[in-house]
Amino acid sequence: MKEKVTRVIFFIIFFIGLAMVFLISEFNKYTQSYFYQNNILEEQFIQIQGNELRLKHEILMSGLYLYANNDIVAKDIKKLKEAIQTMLNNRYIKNQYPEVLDNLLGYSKYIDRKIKKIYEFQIVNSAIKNTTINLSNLLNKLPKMNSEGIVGVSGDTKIKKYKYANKVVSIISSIFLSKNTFDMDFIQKLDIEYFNNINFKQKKFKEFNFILLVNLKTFKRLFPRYIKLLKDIISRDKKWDIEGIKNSHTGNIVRNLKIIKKVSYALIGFVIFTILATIFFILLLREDNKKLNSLARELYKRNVTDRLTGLYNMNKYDKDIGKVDDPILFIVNIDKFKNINSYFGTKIGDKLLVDVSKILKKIVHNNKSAKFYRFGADEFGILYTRKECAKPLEVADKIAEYFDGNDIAIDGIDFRISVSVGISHISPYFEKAGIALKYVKDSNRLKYFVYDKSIDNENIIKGNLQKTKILYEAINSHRVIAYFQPIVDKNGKIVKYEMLSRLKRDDGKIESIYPYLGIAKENKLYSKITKIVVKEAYRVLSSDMSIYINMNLSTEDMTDERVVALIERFLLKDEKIAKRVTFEILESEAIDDYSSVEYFIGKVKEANAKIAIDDFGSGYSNFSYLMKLNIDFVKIDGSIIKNITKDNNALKIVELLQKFAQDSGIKTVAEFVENEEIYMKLKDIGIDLYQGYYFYEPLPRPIKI
Amino acid sequence: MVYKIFFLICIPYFLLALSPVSPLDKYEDINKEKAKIGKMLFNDTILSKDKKISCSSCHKPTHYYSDDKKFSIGVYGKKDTVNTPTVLNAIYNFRQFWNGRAKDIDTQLTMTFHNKIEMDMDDMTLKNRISKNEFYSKLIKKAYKVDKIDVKYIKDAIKTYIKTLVTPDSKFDRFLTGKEKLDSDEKRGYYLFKKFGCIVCHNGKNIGGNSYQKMGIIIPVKNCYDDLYAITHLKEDKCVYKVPTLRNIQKTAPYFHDGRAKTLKEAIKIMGYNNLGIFIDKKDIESIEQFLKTLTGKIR
Repeated sequence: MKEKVTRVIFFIIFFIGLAMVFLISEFNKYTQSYFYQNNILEEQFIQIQGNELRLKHEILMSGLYLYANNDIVAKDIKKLKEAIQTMLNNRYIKNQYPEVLDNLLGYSKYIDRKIKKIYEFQIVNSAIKNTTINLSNLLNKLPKMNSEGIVGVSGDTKIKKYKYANKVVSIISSIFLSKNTFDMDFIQKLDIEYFNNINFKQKKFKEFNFILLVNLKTFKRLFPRYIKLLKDIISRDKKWDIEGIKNSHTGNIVRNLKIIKKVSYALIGFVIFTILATIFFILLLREDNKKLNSLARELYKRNVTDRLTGLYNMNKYDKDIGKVDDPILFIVNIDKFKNINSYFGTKIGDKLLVDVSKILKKIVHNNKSAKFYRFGADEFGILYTRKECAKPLEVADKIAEYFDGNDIAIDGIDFRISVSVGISHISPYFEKAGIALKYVKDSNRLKYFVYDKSIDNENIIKGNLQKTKILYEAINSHRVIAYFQPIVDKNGKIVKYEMLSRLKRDDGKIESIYPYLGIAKENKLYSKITKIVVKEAYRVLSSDMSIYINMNLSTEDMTDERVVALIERFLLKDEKIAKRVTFEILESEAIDDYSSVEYFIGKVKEANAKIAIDDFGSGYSNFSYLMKLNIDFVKIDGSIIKNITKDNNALKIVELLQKFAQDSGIKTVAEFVENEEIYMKLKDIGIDLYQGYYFYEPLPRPIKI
Repeated sequence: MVYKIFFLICIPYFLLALSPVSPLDKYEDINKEKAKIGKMLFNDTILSKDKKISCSSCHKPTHYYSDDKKFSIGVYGKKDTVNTPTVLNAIYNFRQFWNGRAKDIDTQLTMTFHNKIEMDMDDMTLKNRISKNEFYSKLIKKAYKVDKIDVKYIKDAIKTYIKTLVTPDSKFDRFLTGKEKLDSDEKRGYYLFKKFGCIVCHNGKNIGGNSYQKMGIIIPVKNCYDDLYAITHLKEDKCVYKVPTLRNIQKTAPYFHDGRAKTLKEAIKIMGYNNLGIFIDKKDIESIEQFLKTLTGKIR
């Protein structure tokens, strides 16, 4: 459940993360261009503002100063128009702030109207300036005119006779006053009519008056317009004000900044969330880690502990043995523990093991460094340093004595067990202690033994391996061969051959298969040898119809399906061959494995082949058994035959056996006939067939008759 | 000592700054290749519909790039309606044409080309003519690094040439920069020019050409046409014209939009009466004329 949740959270974070990375890059681009563009906008606004102000300033100056350079006004107009156009061309405004663009368009048109007014103003201003100059020039001329007698003369009696000069001065001063005050009141009451109605006769005066009149009229006509235009130009329009537009745009910026703020908050929030999620995951990991650690500890414990007894096991031993300084190992084995398990059940057996482990601990308790192990089903190990165990034999004795002398009570039953102890302080400790233990087990009286070189079966083991190798190779390269030892009748005539396995060494030497049989049985090579002999027997029998053979069989052979099938196929199927075959079976083996032997013998008899019991007389000598099996021959054990000339008992036995056999219709064969004396004796007794070195040694092939 | 020199250098410039009339800049850096093409085009009749008229037909180089006739003759012998103004220093005018309907030279060229009584050309014909002309098309392609002729290159070449038609270094310019002295009559003329108020309209680099003014503002004139009113149709724009330049004025008779004044003295008299509201006596007119003669510059 937790994993699912974790996975879901992980994927959520992953995809949000991707989205965020994308968002951040977009946001970055956006804010960059935002600030950059708005910077430009800011500049452009300021530029327009500045230019507008400059223009207004220049107009004022041209109003103020008599000498003005109109180039400047023309340039300022051009600059202002360019600045506005630049801003109108700004794509960013078009895309982002269309209302600002609309405002700018309106403002542009307003400026166009203003420029028109400026042009008009320039025209009016020139006239005002010029008339002002002229009037002041006239004023300059006036004293001269006056001295020449310019007096106001009028035909109209209604007009009062004022001195002309006074009138001129008064009206011109009004003009100047109005110009300086920008106040129209001073020109409202100008008495231009007076000058209109004056009629001079002298050309000079006429001219003077004419010029005065024309300038006065022009001034009066144009002055109101002059004032209005100037005011309009200088004033700030409520609606079309670049600063107002700029301020409203600032409002937009502030709004957009809010968005930027919100997004950056979101990003910060995401970062915080990521950090928290990371912490959450780390904590989860820690928990998992803890669990893992405890699990690992648990596993380790189980790995090195024997569950039943709680002692350490072999794994731990392997680790410990390397760490202990100058160690000594005891292996304590419970004798015949298998029996206890099979008689009383594994439950009792287990409880016993537990008790034994406790007892061992108790016995050795004073040795603090001692480590206890359970090596196998019934095997315990005690390991400690030699320093702490000065007298190992004492310890072993204590252990053995305890079990010998004490019962162990389990479920109300008292058990008395005995132990065997193998000890080693030579590396490899376990193997050598094991050898010591085997030595103890093999011996009848020893309870414990400390390993020394003398008991080492290392060489024996080496020898075993070697033998196996030799046998294996020999079988594979067809160097396991059959020899034939002739069996003769009373008169020494060869009747049949016993087939004996031989091994041909690399160097050509022939040796008996006997030393290898033990190994062969261990390695299941035994049947291979038998098969070789069977095939060889078949070959010989089919090549010469006069030959009779004996071959040895063990219960291993008789219980091996494939061997039996082989024998059937080669030696029993064909009647002509089967009647010339006799199978020799060891007495001891026949008795031990009666049922399989019986079955095989049945088959043999069916095929008309014969059975002989080998080594008869030395073992159990079970006569009733013999009868049941319905055998054909009995081969009296060589050890008895050997002694018939020396030992009277042996002679008696042979006589007895011969009688019995004769009465039962069984033929007798004497093995190991070594000399003539024995032969004669045996002949006297009436033995049927004879085999031994006195007659023939085993031969590589049957003799051609 | 250092301060003395400093002030000696500064004061003329300071006074210069105060002066309402300023000298012309030194020669500007012009692309000579393009100017050459422009010059050839300026004098080439290929640019008119009937192939009989070139720019120089009306803006005669011998007459300081204006016409000595009252009204020039355009294509198919059509008579123009206004007196041809000079091209010299036209680059410094704040607008082009008598009523300032063209805001710059480019617009002016376009309008002149399209004017039925002047060149009577449309863009397509113009482009084709020049494209087919091997001589011009090769030059233009090389100078402008293009492989197709467009009208804008033709106009740009002419404009570049017009930029070269400036006349700095007149006697008055040299006076303003302190390099030469005016004689007493010329000085008096300048003084009167200021005193009477001529300078109120005729000021700046071009001694005019930088504002609209009404002809006959004080005492009205008759027969105003092709004025600002012709464009705006506003009553107050009647007889409003762009102030013409007074540079080289001595050489560009006749004067006013209809060429009504044949001599400079006449022009001065009319201006004084109608625009200033004064009678300028003979002696003063002569002095002013002498002053105006100092405004004649050197053609490159």
